[in-house]
Amino acid sequence: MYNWLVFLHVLGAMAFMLAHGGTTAVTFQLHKERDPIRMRTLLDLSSYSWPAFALSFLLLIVSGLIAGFMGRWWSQGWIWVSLAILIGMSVYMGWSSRSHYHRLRKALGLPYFEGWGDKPAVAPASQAEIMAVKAALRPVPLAVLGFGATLVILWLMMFKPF
Amino acid sequence: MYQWLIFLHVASAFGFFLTHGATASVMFKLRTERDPERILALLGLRDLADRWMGLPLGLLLISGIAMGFLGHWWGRGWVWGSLGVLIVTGLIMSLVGRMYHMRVWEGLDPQGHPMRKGMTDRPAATSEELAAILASGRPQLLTGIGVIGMAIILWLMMFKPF
Repeated sequence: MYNWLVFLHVLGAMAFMLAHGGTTAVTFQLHKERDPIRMRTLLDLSSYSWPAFALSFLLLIVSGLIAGFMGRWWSQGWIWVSLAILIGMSVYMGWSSRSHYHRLRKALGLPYFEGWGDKPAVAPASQAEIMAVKAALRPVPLAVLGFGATLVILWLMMFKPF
Repeated sequence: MYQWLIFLHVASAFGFFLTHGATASVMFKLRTERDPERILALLGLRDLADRWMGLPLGLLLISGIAMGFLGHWWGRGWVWGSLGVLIVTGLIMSLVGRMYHMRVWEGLDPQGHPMRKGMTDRPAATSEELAAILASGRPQLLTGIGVIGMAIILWLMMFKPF
């Protein structure tokens, strides 16, 4: 039973990567784009994969929590550290998405998220303003941080060092 | 050393699914698009992900083959079974997925595909023909085959049943 939970946990992690892949590629491709129509398309694609993203994240978390109880791992340090890294990374990614990508959505005249809720589309900003918002995007540090944190979690789970 | 190879194998699987996720979400999104500029933006994103997919796939294969030798697994059936599933899944994905994207590229911009520039003098498809090409994608079928293939390979690797 425990092994099947680990199986589900790894499968959830792989499905999560698959669901997150569209958004990751969009962050890199946006950096090169100058055409507002293309930028809107890419940002739409990023929101499109949200249900698969949420479902796989749920599978990952639920199977991980149950495996923690079944394997009696909660008294060890590595599981708390990996949970803290996951939470920290999710909060940072959420903040980064809100402060950069939703600002770009707003500038492009797409519905966006601000404060505590979804906001309807407003009139698109000028090309110069759009480019200024886009220039603030930093896909490489974000990808390095996200994938680096994933590798640290994987190391903690596999080697259980403390 | 062997544990570090497993680490590298799982990490490269994560990298592979991350890059592959972009091509999968593009295939789903293309079915709903009709505007040529938006379709070109999605195809550009797909090509970006396709260019990066080889690196994690190569690492995945090299680490897997090295582990097969270090762990003396090549005499067991599960390792051949998982390699077989990987090859069959990869072939189906490549044939169906790549050919679909190629058809969309050629329908939209016969001379524009980065890998086939100037290789055809066929005219672009009419909007009706393009709609039919876009609708011919089978993203659910391919996702189903991919996820089932991935789950079978993971099960074979974790449970080593034969």
